[in-house]
Parts: sequence; C-alpha cells; structure tokens
Amino acid sequence: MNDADKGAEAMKEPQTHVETPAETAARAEIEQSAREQTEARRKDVTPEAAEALRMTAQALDALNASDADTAINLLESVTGKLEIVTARDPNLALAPVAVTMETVEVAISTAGLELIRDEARDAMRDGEVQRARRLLRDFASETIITIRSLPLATYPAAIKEVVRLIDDDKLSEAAQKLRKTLASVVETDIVLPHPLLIARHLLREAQALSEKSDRSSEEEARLTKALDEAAANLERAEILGYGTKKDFREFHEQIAEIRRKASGGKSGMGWFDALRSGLDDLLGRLRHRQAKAEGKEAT
Amino acid sequence: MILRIRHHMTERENAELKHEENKNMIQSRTPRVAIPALLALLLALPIGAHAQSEPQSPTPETQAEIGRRAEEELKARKADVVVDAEAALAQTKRAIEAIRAGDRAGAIAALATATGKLELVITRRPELALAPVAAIIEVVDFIGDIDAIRAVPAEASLALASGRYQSARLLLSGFASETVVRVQNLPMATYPAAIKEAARLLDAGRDDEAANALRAALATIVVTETVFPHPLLDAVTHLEAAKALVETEGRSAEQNQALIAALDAARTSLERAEAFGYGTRREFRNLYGEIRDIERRTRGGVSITGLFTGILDSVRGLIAGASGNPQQTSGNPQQK
Repeated sequence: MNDADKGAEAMKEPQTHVETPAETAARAEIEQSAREQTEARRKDVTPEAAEALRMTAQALDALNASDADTAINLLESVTGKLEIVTARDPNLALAPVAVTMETVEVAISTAGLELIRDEARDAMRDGEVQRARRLLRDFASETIITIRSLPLATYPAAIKEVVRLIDDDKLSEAAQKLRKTLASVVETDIVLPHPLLIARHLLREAQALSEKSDRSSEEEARLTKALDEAAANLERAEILGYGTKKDFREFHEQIAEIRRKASGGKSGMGWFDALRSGLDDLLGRLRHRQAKAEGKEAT
Repeated sequence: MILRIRHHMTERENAELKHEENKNMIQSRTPRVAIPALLALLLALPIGAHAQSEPQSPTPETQAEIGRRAEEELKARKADVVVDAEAALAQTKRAIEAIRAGDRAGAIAALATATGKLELVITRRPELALAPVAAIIEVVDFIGDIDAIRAVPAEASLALASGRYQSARLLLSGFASETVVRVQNLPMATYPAAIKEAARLLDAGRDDEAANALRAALATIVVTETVFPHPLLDAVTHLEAAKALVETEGRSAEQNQALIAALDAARTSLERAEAFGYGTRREFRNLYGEIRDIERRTRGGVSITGLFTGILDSVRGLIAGASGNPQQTSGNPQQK
C-alpha cells in the first residue's frame, strides 16, 4: 500500500485522538477563554450598523422582486442608520455588526493527521486541487472568533450609488452593486489554535512543578507527563501547520533542555521563560494570520 | 473525524447570519487568501473584473441546468432525512450544552431521549448504515480569469511545501466553482453505542469524559456530497452544442463557425476545470487531444455521428468523480 492509499485508509478508518484528562482540562480553559473573548467583542457591536446590514439584505430582496419603492425606503433608512454611527464616532473605520465563534476540531490521531497531510500534498502534485481542498477543508484544531464589520469608508457611499441606480431605473445594476456591497462586509478573525494553547497550559503546570524543590515521586511523574503531553501537542500543532519547522525545532530543543535541568529532582526558576515567550510570539503571529486575509476581503 | 461547532451569540445575529448565508447561495463566495503575493495579485483583479475573452461563470443554460439538478438532488436528500435521527442529533447537542451548564440531570434526560429516538430508527430501518439528518446546498464560485485561478494552486503548493498547511487550507477554502448538495448522516453502527456510553459516564459522575465522548460521537457524523462542478458542466453544454452541429448534414458556413466557437468554448471550460483541479493533468491532456481530433475530423463541413461519445463520457466521468471525494467523514456544523 503506498502513502496515498494509506491516506485514503486513514480517512475511511480514522483513529480518534484520545485526550488525556490534562488536555481535557486545558480544552475547557480554552473554551471558557474563547467565550469570554467573544462576549467582550460583542459589547463593541454597533446596533445601528447591524440594523443597516439587515436592511441592506432586505433591500436586495426587494430589488430581486422588482420592488423599487421598498428598496429605496430601506436604503434611506440604511443611510440614516449609518449617519448615526459616523456622527457618534467619526474616526470609526469598521462598525462591528456581529461576533460569532466557531470551533473546528480534526479529532484524529497524529499518525492520521500525517497521512491526510501527505495525501493532500500528493493530490496537489497531481493537479487534483479539489481533492486536496476537501482533504484540507477541516484540517484544523482551532476556535475562530469572527467579527463582522461594515467598512464605513466605502459602505455608505456604495448604498448611495445603489439608490442613484434605482432612481435611474437600473434595477439589475442596482441589485448587482448591492450584492457587492453586502460582500464587502469585513470579517476579522481571532484564531485560537488548540494544540498550541493546550501545550501552553501543560507547560504552565510543568513550570510550577519544576520550581518545586521537594517534588514527591508523584509530582515527578506529573512533571514528566506534562512535558510529554506538551511535546505531543506541539507535534500535532506542527503537523497542522501552526508554525514553522524552525519554531518547533526550538520548542522541542527547549523542552529537552528543561528535562535535563529537571532531572534527578532538581528545581529552578526561569527555565521556561524562552519557551513560553516563543510560544506566545507564535500565538500572536497566528492570531494575526487571518486578519491579513480579511484585509483582502474588505477591498 | 472532524468536529465543527458554530456558536451564534443571539438569535437575532443568527437570523442575520442565516440571511447572509442564504445570500451566499445565490452569490459568488469570495475566497479567503492569506498570502501577501497572491493578495497583491487579486487586488489587481477586482471582484467582477472579468477578462472579456473568457467565460467567468457558467453559461445561462448551464446555470439553469445546475440549479435544476441541485434542487432535485436536495429535494431527494431532504426526503431521505430520518426525523428520529435528526431529533437524536439535536438531543446530543442539548446534552453537551447541559453538561457545560452543570445540568447533569438535563444531560441524562436528553441522552435518554436520543437513545429512544435511535432505537426507533433501528427498529424501523434496520438496514440503514447511515441515517441522513440534514441536507443543504452550497455554492462556491471563485471569481477570476484563468491566470488568477492558476495562481491559487501555485501559492497553495508553495504553502504546502513549506509546511504552512493552514495557509494552504485558507487559500483553497473558497477555491472552487461548484454547487454542492451536502448530506450529514449518523453512522448507525456506532452512534447509538456512543450515546449510551456517554450516559453511563454521566451516571458515574464523569461529566468531562461524557462531554468528550459526545463530542467524539458528533465527530463521527458522515458527510456525503454531490458536487456539480460548474466548468465541467459548462464543457458538457458546449460539447453537446458542438455535437448537434457536427451531426448536422450540409452545415452552412455560419454553422461551421458556430461549431468552431462551441469547441473553443468547451476547451476554455476544460482549461478552467483543470485549473480548479477537477481531475488530473493527464485526464485533461487526453480531453484536449480529443477536441483537437474532433476539430481535425470535422474540417470542411464533414458530418459524423458518434464522434463525441468518448469525450462526453470522459467529462461526465470527471463530474461523477468530483462527488467521490475521500473525505466521507467530515464536518459537523452545529448552530446554536
């Protein structure tokens, strides 16, 4: 059986990734944090802008039904709502209209992940892009908080342009313009990659244990286990592409160094500083990753 | 084995998003792009700015055909939905929420209902390996000329080669020109047992493990897809038109021109299909060869029958193959 066949087998009979209790606890913490961040972002939602978006969609329905009067009335209200938003805060570039949270979890074993990844690479090499696309579609372990916003620099002007087209009885062009305007809603994502966050949680636990000078044998075992599980999660993160090879090489070297320092029950401070700082840097970079993508969508 | 959970924070927002998603059914979906180089390229090609010489979306005939076939497929798949299985899925989600809220009794009650519903499914349809629970249509239409289309797999390949799998995933996420009818199914061989196991864990006070077991059960939901790749269906439309012309005896000069145009259009559609990756390079190379052969044999107004059987079969084979993607075990959208 070649690698591609093994990949197909892995898709048919995937081995479930079984979480350890520590990983489950870490996941609960991530979920809680994601919910809190989502709630916090929701406080920024501008009700008038949200209403403007809803009315824009209704205006498109009206245009599709050739009901120009209703469309005009709705778009007048949209313009009014947006004027309120800009009057309240003239410097506001993006008016948040909705915040959603989505979790994608590819809950299969690390070996299964490797096979999917390799099969996607093979498919791309053979030009079977759609096959690769479907293989990679949910190849992630992350929570994404998406903030949808109206671009205030362009949205109000676009609505006025649509009104002008309706006034000129160009309903089809108006509908097309309105579709494009609706599609100009900016989506900004905050990405929370699970394996990296789980690794960070486990390293925090390991750090507390490594700083203890009189570790019991049970604590010693917990320290080893926490480091093992952190390393395993970093491996999952690498396979999923949450960082570069260089990032992960350094992380694994740093974990090996910590193991050496902590061997024989030794304890100390500051052993985890570089590792945790590197992990935080990586999380920061990934958090920004999709914001760039959304910048394009906004244009 | 994928779990996808979408949490919408309010019903109002949910309704808004649903409205937007419905809009996407009739709109082109813009791709998400994470690579600055491609970003610059796409910025140079504003949405809707199509090269005049190349078709950017299916012909009206193809569009109507795709719409008709997708609606028929959706209707058939919706008719297959097993109401009790659908209810069991809803109760599973309710149980997860109850566990999250610390309501063990509520979770146990939800799982008891789910088990009851699943027993009904097994009793009524013992032969059912996959119980359909939902069916939706999705349209993904990447807009751009052939160069813009070719740029995406090139960037995605680079991303894959350098280990940036998430970048590749995002690049490819909206990279298609297709209508998809997607069906979610409960795997009846394993799902009922997983629900019972979760109930047992709850009874034993192991709530976290029960929640995990339920998430794992949701991750076993099987997604099957029927894909209608727009450029391939477009190619069929053009080839059918060319076929009718080739089989016309005593073609006029105008009809000969129309034949040339139809074959050209078919080739362009196939080039788009190839750029989107609806088949291997070798398959498309063979198809171009067949078109060249048809062009050669029909020069001078010759009328021939049976000339298109091979190429039409091949293209239809690619269309059928587009639905046979390997990711039979896929996402599980949950909304709340």
